[in-house]
Amino acid sequence: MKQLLLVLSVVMILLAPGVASAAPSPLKILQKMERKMNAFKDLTLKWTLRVRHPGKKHSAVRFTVITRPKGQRLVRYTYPGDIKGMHVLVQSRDEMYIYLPAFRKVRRIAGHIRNQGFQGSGFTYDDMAIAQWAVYYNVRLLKQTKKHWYLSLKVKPGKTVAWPQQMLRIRKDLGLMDEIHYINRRGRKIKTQRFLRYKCKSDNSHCNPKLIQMVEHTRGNLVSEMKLKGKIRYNKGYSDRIFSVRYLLRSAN
Amino acid sequence: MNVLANIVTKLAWLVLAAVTILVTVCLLIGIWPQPENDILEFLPPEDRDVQVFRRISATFGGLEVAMIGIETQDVFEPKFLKKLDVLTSDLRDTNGVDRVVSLTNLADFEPDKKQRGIKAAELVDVRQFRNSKYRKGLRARVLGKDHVVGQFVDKAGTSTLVMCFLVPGMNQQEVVGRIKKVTQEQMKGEKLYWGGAPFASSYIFETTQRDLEVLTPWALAAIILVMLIAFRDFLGVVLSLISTGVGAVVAFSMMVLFEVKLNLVLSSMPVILFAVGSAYGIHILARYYKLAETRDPVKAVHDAVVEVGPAVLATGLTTMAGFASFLVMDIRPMRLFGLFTALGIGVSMLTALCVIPALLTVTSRLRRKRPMVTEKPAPGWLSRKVGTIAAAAARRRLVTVCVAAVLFVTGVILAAGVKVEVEPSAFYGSQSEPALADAFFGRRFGGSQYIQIHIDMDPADPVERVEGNALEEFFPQVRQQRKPLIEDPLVMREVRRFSEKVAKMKEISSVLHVGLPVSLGTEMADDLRRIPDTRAKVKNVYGLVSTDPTVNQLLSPNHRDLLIHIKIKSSKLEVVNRVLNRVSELVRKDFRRRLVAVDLKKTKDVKLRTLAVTTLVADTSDHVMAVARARGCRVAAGSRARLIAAYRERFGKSVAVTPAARAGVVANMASYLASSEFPGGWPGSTPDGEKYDKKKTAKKIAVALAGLGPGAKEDARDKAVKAASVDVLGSSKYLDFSTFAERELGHSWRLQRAQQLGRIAVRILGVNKPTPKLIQSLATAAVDLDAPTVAVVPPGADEPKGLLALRPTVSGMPVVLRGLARSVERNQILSLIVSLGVVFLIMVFMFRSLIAGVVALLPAGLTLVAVFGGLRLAGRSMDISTSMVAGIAIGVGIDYAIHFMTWWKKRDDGDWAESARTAAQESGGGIVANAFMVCMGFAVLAMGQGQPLKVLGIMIASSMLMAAAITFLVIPALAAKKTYYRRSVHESASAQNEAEASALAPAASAAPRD
Repeated sequence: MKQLLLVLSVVMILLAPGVASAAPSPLKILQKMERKMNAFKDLTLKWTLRVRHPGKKHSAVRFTVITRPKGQRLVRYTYPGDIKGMHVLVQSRDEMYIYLPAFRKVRRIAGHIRNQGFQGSGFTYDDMAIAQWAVYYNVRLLKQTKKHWYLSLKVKPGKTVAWPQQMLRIRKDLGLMDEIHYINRRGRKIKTQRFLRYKCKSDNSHCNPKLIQMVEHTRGNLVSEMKLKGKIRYNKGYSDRIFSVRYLLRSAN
Repeated sequence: MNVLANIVTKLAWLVLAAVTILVTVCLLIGIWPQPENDILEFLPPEDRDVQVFRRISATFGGLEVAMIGIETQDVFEPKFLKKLDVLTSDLRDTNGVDRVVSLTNLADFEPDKKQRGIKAAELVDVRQFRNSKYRKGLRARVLGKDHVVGQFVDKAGTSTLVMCFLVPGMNQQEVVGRIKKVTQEQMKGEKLYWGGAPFASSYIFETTQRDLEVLTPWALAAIILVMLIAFRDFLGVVLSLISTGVGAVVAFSMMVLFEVKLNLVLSSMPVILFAVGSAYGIHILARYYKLAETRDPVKAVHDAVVEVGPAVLATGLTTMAGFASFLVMDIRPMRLFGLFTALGIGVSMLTALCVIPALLTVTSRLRRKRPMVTEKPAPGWLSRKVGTIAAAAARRRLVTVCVAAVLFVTGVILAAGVKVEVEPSAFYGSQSEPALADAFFGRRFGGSQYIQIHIDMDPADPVERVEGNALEEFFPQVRQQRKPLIEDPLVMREVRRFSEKVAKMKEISSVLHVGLPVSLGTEMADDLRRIPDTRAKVKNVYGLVSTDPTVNQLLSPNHRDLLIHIKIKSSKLEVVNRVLNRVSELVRKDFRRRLVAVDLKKTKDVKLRTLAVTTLVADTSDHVMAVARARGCRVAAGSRARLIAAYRERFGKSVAVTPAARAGVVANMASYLASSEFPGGWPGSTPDGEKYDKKKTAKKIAVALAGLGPGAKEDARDKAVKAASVDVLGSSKYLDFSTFAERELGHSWRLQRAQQLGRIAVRILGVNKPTPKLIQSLATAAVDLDAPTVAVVPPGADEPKGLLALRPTVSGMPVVLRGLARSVERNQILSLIVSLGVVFLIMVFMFRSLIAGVVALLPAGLTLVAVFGGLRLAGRSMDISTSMVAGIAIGVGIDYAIHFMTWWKKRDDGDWAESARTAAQESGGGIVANAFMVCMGFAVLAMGQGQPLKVLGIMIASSMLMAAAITFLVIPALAAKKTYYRRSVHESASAQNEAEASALAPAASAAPRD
């Protein structure tokens, strides 16, 4: 009997942590995060992007982004002069247009340009466009701590994405990520994206980081950061027309 | 010297303790300096060309571009391209790599089937390889791109280029190592070439370091072997090595203390110290052995220091002077080399004078007592031979002097013809990685040598600019007020005009300037590959293309500096220098540095307008001809004048409304109206609710609009569109169509005019069977004839308002190497003057005679002349490594003369030959042994792969042997005095020695055993 009690107590001890830390399934964590990230009809944000090149003056770019939950985005540049007035319209992952104000023309951009650094920074159009992970990645819970869940994402067979692996660190209090590690096909961490200073709506239905940092480990830990300027504007009721090529052209003419 | 001898014998323990403390302190400081792997450290920082080059490199990051050449069977083989794609992404993910550009991530502009116009996409899209039609068309499509062929793929499609832009400030050697590893893993079985500054400098550094690591122990072993053979005394050799070791320890620890990095030349210091520095101890020891045979060991130590000390001191000082003469050079690594080697030599010499005698004193009881010799041993074989040579030279003085004079004159004539040139082959051998890469890029990509023209575009003058930059630091918005000139299309056209003029030289394979990517960007935005007409458009295009790292090689991030890259077909120095001279001359004579914009519509100054029109017509004609040449057309002789005349006649006139032109306008307008690019918004049905044919209606509108001819007024347009489409568009919509069509209608007629101008060019240039692509290219080039503003050189010296000031400077590696050659020449002369001067003074002081000073200098001088004459005969030029030879040869070579002359004493019977024989026999062994030690040490270094070390090794090895040989020939022939060196103490010691020797036994040989 004593032996049985001993065995049972050992089993209880071994099981205890598992019982105590029983977490929702990783997929649910991810989907919940996606829902919260996209909990708006449209969202307008003004950003300042800065790249701190070592030994050089930092470069700054200012732009306004209007985003819709399904990934449609309209980016309007306001600084510097080279790109002021330029618009980028992202209709979907594979459809992107650029409006050139001096020529009053819209041109389609395909392929790798989306994967290249945006204005010399570590952010790519793809990094900024992705608001959905569950569709493209298989997810696994790596570990959890008191404050975070750590999810490992691996691309689903047949899906084409810029990064075959990612690791997301999700804050338990907000249900939103505060760090993404971008991992290449060789399993090497290439970039780390941090989401800092979250600001939430009063009902806590949506939160947005006021500062996003991207650290590129292969470029001597070059830091690019996007700082939110002004207010976050929710649900202004932009129609579909705003996200059309024709809108860009008409507003020009 | 007597005082010193007393100190080292009476206070031997104290001397040894002091040196032990010194060495301990040095070891505590550290004796392993950080390595210096920046090859550019060898460039003279004060040279103007070097300063410009460094500034350009810092602005454009040109020194951080590593180029990987890959030779394969077929670049367009899908398997290879997939490998290349993976390599591109792996390299991008490599630590230290900022950007990668290869065939698989190059942007391309192609017709947009979905939306009309042009879309930006990948040139090679590996995802489409399943599509056989795509695969088949790929080769022709890629090889049809002018901006890609010769830059990223060769004409035959068998070689490609990957450009890696490294992160500035990181350890280039490590990054280069990672790049090589990744590439070799991914491209197994392909032939790889490593080009560009990071690979080249990494190769030079690595090979030299490897050579030194591998060869230094062998060189030291060779030196020790020579010492052992020559002196046959193990303890003596150990003592000599200790004295040199102390010198090396002190020199290296001082480098650590003062944070001096170990550069390529300094790495050879141990060999030099051991080869040269060991001689001092040997001379002391040799004399000690001789004296110890006949007297008390401590007394022998004392007398040895007194007798040989001055000669050792003098030779040490002259060698130090030889190395210290490098301090006048303007190349920092050379100065450091001179300083620390001189320090090491000085310490070795002092150690030999103090520590060896102190050690001998302390260990004298331990040393084996040699048996007393009963008769004077005969000189060894080598001493006898040397004695014979010296005696023969003294016997036939006239012949020897004449032969020496003839050789000297011949040598001077030859040496005077030695060119001072620094070329890449001075740094690496013909079969080395960089040389093979150079050959590959020359063979496949039209050359590997570049000249750059830097154009300072800052509108402010240099003084204002400094103030402006300071202001910008605090008020960034100030930048907005200083518009960079390069955003002005007029300036960009001037850059293009000049580049096309340079490209006409037959030795040049291509000229890259910022106008090319801007033209490509404009093609994407505006369908025409040309420089836009307005500043706003140029800025827009910059915004589009500036993320491309290759563009950053042409234009600085602040748009105030630009670079023109001129690729030269040949790597031969004479060709490169010829091109460099011609380009420099062209920049001086033909570059328009002062420009003023003339608005052709607004200007009222008739003279200025005439000048502007003349300039515009001539420049447009030249541009059209350059485009034709670039397309491989042979331009008929005299066609320039005819083309100018034809364009002058067409200038200001509207398009000729021909049926062909009208048809062209209809086609373009119909396509535009029916495309999604047209913002008019076609209705879903007619006002009557009926279906309609959009394309048919679009064509009707296009025909109606084209029928109006160029420059139609708004009313006429409205009426025409209404007549053609009111039944489909309704009573108000047609007005929108008319408005939105206006811009494209004007553009269509402009295209037709350009086509007409292009055809004129085809006819005048005598092009047989022109392709549509060629006509299109010439037509696009001719659009400039309708430019609204023209940049002209303002007449007179006044600075009119709105003057555009451009400041061109020729730069690039050939210019830097030319600057380096200038510096080498200057350094050589200065260091020679300084070393000769200081050594001469030491000689005069030592021998107390001007003539003796001159005589002592002669062997080293003759050696120098002979070595540099030999350099000319070998067809080589003087460069950075050979410039070290003179100082070393003077400093070390003079030692032999000093030793010989200190032993020179004319016999009482006046027999010169026997006097020479005696002096040679006394000093010969030491001289020959030392010459062989230095020779062997450097000969081993010459067996490495590093070119600088090889040349230096051969030259020093040969010059040392030569200096020794010349010493035995020339000094006996020129000896004019009874004795050169008077030893006050030595006389007594020597007299005592000789008396003792005659009484007891003849002395053992002071020279090494032959």
